[in-house]
Amino acid sequence: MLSTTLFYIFSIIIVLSCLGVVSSKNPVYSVLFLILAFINSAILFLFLNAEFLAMLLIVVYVGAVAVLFLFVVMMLNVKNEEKNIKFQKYTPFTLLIVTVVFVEILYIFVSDDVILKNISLSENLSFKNNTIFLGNILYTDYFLLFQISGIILLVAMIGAIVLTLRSRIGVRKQVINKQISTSKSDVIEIAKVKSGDGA
Amino acid sequence: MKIDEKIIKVNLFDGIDGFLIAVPEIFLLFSILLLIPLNLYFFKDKEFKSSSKFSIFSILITLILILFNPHEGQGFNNLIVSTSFQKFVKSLILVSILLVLLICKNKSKIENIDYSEFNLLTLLSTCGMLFVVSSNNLMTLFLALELQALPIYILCTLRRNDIKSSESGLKYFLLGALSSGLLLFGISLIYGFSGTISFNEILATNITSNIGLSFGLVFMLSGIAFKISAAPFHMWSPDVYQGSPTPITLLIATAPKITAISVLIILTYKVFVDFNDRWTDLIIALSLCSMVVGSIGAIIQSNLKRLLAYSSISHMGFILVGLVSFSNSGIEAVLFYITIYLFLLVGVFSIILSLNKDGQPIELISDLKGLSNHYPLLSISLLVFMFSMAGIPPLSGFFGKWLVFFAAVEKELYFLAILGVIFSVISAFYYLKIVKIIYFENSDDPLVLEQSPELKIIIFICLTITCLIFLFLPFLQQLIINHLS
Repeated sequence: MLSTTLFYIFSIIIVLSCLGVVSSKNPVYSVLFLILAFINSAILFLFLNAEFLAMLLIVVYVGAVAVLFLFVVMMLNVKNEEKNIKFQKYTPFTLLIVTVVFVEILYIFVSDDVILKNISLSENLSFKNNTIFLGNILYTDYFLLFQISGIILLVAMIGAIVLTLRSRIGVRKQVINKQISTSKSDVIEIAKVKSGDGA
Repeated sequence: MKIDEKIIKVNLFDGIDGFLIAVPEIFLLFSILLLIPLNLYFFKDKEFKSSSKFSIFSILITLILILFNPHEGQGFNNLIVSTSFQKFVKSLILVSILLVLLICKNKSKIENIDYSEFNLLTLLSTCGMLFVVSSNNLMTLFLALELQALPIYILCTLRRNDIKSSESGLKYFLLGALSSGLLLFGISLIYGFSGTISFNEILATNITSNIGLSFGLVFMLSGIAFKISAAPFHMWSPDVYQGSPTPITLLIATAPKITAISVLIILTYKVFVDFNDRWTDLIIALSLCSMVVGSIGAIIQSNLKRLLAYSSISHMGFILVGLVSFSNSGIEAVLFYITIYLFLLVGVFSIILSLNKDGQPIELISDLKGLSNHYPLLSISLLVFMFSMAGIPPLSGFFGKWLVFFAAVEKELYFLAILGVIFSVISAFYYLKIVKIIYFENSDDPLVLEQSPELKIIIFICLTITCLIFLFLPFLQQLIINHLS
């Protein structure tokens, strides 16, 4: 009972902070709300005995991704965005669809003939040390998925290069070899100045 | 630390079978990994041409490997499956990619997309498509769909100094991410209510009255409807078609759609078979919406590629009619339809690509004015493709529609068949409008024809298939039936 109550508390915090991400005017606040959402999701993973995933979420998403976002937002110097009128035109329609979907989801969870299988008790997560278990199935049972994820990361790398690399003409690049092999006489001219002639 | 002995696995993989099944995909992956250093160090002078040749060659070998791979069944811990159905769809995808690469080989310069990464990204996307088709698990399906889609988002933005191209790529990416979100939400619901993500086990659960599962299915189908641009999930397609460079529009219009249709077939006919009364209504709605939007929306278009986008929406509507009928003749009709539609699209796009005006690729329908005066042969082939798309016998488009509606009538879906025929007639209007512009309107500004031998051969092949399909119709049907068993 306690864990159910806690689950609902943390889930509500996630939903609220997600709303905060979308609705706050200052982008820095959005990123901070995002970090709150990540930390709460990490807590939800702890409820499922998935402590490795929880720590991973904090280390990768909070520690790396969100902080990177924060840097970018601060560097871009984004002004507080004015409310866009175009969005408000569609608001009633959006609200209608959202309400319909929400009522449908509620109906599913209220109606009696639905059994949500208790995933937290599935055998995959019942081991005491789920880091070992995860490592064990990741490279054996789900070897193919692991490889496909790797290729997706390769696509991301290639994409970033394709979209940003441009070879400009006339850029003076540093050629270290040339720098080192330059002799003294190439760059320094020693002139004898007669006494009295200098300025 | 003492590790529980029980959880250490002894057998790493379920034998070598998985590798043997996936030999074509593995070959393609290795050739991609080889292409990266080749692009960097060896193809320096004629970078695009050489890498294009290399990719065409590797796609050809992959095609041969798929056709002659004797190993069938499931592999990699049942994550992938390969049967004759998968082989058929995969060969279709590879043929379409092959045609796209052949067309792009000489057209990349004028379209300003002659980066060697074009070939690399196309191959990566192809690899994703092959995995999508052979997926036997919701997780494989999702990851492979992402692998298929991500390179295409980048390809749309390839002409990065062009604001239209960047817009189309961004739009495609955002809506694609939304559709992935829907798909993933559906998958999580299905996992929550059935407790498994494997297709075999979902099929074995035999739960028919579970609302949660069907709710998840609705989300998954919406996610896939985004990919085939069926209305009301079609909003991205006209903008993306118009904005991206024309060869990439051709790529978007063919191979990913074939993939998504095959996913729909697998999900509806092989996984959620027990839910057929639920997804049938859904697909009927999708199909009717697509036919309405595709037929009515195209009438007011003046841009050629936007028009083709709407035409593809309406064709997706017709294809979904075949899916609704839930019978073997239904899938047969769907596969037949996408096969002929592929060649129609390739034909039309090769004609568009071979023409240019003032050194610019043609954009508007009115650019085609007076085509018949200068290039009678080309205009008659465009006429044949347009008639075929409109569904005029004895061209291939007619047989596609005929089979699809026949399958619907067999299952007593009369209203769907009748509405389909009505909308097919409405859509004939804008195909015939193009024919009218070609033959009955004149222009002082002559178009310039620039065709490489490959392009001529491709147009000729597409034309032959479109015109002479009725001669080998029984043979083709037999081929598809053999692949369905």
